Amino acid sequence: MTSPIGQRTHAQVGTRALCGGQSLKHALFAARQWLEKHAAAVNALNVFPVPDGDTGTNMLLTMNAALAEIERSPDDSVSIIAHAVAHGALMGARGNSGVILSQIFRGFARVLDNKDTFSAEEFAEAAQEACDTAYQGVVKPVEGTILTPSLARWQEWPDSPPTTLMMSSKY
Amino acid sequence: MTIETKLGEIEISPNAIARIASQAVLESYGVVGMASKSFKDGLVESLAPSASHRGVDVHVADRQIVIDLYVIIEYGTRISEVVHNIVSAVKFRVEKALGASVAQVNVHVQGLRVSQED
Repeated sequence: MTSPIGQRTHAQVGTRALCGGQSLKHALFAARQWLEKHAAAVNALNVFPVPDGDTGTNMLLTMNAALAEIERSPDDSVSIIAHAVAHGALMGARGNSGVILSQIFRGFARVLDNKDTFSAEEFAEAAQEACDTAYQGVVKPVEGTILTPSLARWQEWPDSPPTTLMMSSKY
Repeated sequence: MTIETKLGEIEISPNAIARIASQAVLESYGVVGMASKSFKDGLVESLAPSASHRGVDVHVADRQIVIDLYVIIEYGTRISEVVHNIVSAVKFRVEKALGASVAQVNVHVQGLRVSQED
């Protein structure tokens, strides 16, 4: 794989690709687009704790606040990008799901602290920490909330490719 | 809290209302415990989940329900939003169970729990 000069977002180390800050940023923007597309469907699922049908909207607003922090950031360090996103999500958290999302980003950023790039293994570790951090923030975790999808089988990484993981997990 | 029916009255004690409210609080994201109402020696102690109704004060006057909640919140969450979520969850759950409206829900953040520093 050859990258344009000045871009080291897909630096190759051995046979394993490393993800840099700008790639992480692009992935997060793609995630936002996906969320935007399905916000109405998520709203329709919302029955807990108050069935007011705003989970999709709340998560999208939280995501918007999170991504506003990195929109113009040229930083190529995953640590800087992840911490900025975590800060934005914290400040702009809306609803229970938004607060959960902010904790997911917080845990994710903690593992990537001081890292310029991450490997698949490091991503799995960060995702697991994100999930653990999210579960710590409540006395009685209620399954079926946004907490549940964070429980994907991260320990299977990186042996099973992302597509398998997404297809095989329930969500 | 008294609800009148054709056949008689239904009396709901503040304690029962406190149980409903504390369940809703413990399921609210960002709440890591309830605390007793008074500070003992300036220490805030987290109540065991089974005793969490003791962190709730319910007052009923002129058919108006006022609920005071004493909570401990996870450090690193947006407190204002967590509290907002607690208020709407408690109001919804109590009103649904009682069929009567709740006039006020006041939240007292008694402490924060630091699980991990960033």
